[in-house]
Amino acid sequence: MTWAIELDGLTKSFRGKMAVENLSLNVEAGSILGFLGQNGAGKTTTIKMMLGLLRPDSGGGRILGKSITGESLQVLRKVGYVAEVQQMYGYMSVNEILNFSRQFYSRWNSALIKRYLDFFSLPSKEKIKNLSKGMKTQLALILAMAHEPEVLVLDEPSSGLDPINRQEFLRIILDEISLQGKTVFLSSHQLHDVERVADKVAFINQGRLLDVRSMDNLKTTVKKIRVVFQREPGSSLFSQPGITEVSREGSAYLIAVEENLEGILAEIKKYPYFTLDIIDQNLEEIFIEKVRGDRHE
Amino acid sequence: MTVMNKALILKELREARWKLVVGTGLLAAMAIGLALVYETIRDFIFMVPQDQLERYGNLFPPNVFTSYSVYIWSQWNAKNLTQIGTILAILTGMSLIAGEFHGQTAGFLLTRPVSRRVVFFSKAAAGAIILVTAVTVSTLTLILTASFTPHSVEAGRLLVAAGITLLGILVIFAVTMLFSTLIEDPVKAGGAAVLVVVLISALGLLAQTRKLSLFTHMNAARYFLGGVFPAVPVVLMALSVIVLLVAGCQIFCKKEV
Repeated sequence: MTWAIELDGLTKSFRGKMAVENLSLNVEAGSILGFLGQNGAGKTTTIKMMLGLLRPDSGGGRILGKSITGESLQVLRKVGYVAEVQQMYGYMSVNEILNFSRQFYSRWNSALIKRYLDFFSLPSKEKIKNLSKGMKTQLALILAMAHEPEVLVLDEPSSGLDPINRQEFLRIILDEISLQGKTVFLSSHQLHDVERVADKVAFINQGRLLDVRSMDNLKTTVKKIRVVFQREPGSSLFSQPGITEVSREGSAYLIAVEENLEGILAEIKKYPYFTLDIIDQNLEEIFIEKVRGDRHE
Repeated sequence: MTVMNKALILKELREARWKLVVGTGLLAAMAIGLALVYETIRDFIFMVPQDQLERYGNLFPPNVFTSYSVYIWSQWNAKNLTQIGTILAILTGMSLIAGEFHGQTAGFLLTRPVSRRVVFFSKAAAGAIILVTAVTVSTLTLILTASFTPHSVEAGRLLVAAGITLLGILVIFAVTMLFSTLIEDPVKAGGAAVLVVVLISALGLLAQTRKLSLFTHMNAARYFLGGVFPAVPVVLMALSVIVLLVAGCQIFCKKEV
């Protein structure tokens, strides 16, 4: 397996407050990773360390084999980045910022730029300060893709976009980027968006990586079981590996399962029950469970 | 090893174009004015009674009117060029780095594949271009205007003296750039540079510390009046510029965004 992004023990604190703690994460080349966390969870800090804007207190990493601490220039040549807040030079026009940026890259896809300027209907002579937030995000995406990077790092790219623009944005991520074999590191708390496009998701909370799972694995193994027993089961049932939480809902038990679904079901069925339902979890519910579970620990 | 980038220099020049235009225009206007009003001021000074003239002693020392060249030097290098040049150096330097952080464009700039060293020295080069242009254009304007008067000016010596003054202006620019790197607010960075300039000027007020003041050396009095090229101050000023810029670059390279 080829890793496009390898993060190893990344740690960063600000004035004694831990922002990212010992974060290790690998992203497979050509895949889309959804990097999920609440505001202030450490997503942007992680991204800034990946791009050399912040220096890790300890740990390090590699993007396309280049060290994020020692070879950040080589990293930046191969990475396209869309920041959370699009702060470009407001006095420049769309054309001018494209021309300014192209001078830093050896590759520049003018055809792609033209296609997307037309697609987004971005006025090329308009000053950036006069563009809407959505237009600025679209411009940032064009700037990030123009040099045909192998890795795209998107930090909350769809926040502030209206639903139509968000759909277009996601379609581009899927069609233009992922299908071309590019790796996408998509930080977001727009969980529906991530659910649609990501191959894998990583959950971060309070600077710590909670879990990394493939979307397929999440969809097939992370479930809730709602069961009404005919009589109380033994407590040993709830200590089965893979059960993360057990709660009561009237006479029913709600059992949150992260793995070992088949094994747990087999155990449950040993006890007589009235009803048994397996409830699918969407990414938002899984995310909330993860963060809540982390808080309780 | 590349230390500058043309696109970055052009961007900085564009952002500071009004400083360049206004600074050069103001200096050039002053140059034209002082070249043309020599006789008027001289006649006025001679009309003023001796006791009142002493009040203007600092403004027009008695030997100023011994020759047109000395008058030009005294009003140009020792006054207008130094004063306006200092203000222009602070205005130019204060926003070069701090402006990127204050305007939140540092993240965009520093995620282009260009080294921070190149970014820093391109900005320094753009600032230096503005100052060199303003000083050169205005001094040449002064010499050209003087050539239309019935008096003669020592153009070569005036240009060398302007070069010495320019070096002093670059020291102040480098000090301001250092503050612009340390303080992420252009106004505060400029304020810190003004404080340093005030301290440097204060050194020139006392006879014991006068030699330590940058302004004592950047007016090129020793060269223009004494005929001795101030090699040691020139080397020290040049070294100061280099040391200050290298220090600023080191800080910028470690700066987090």
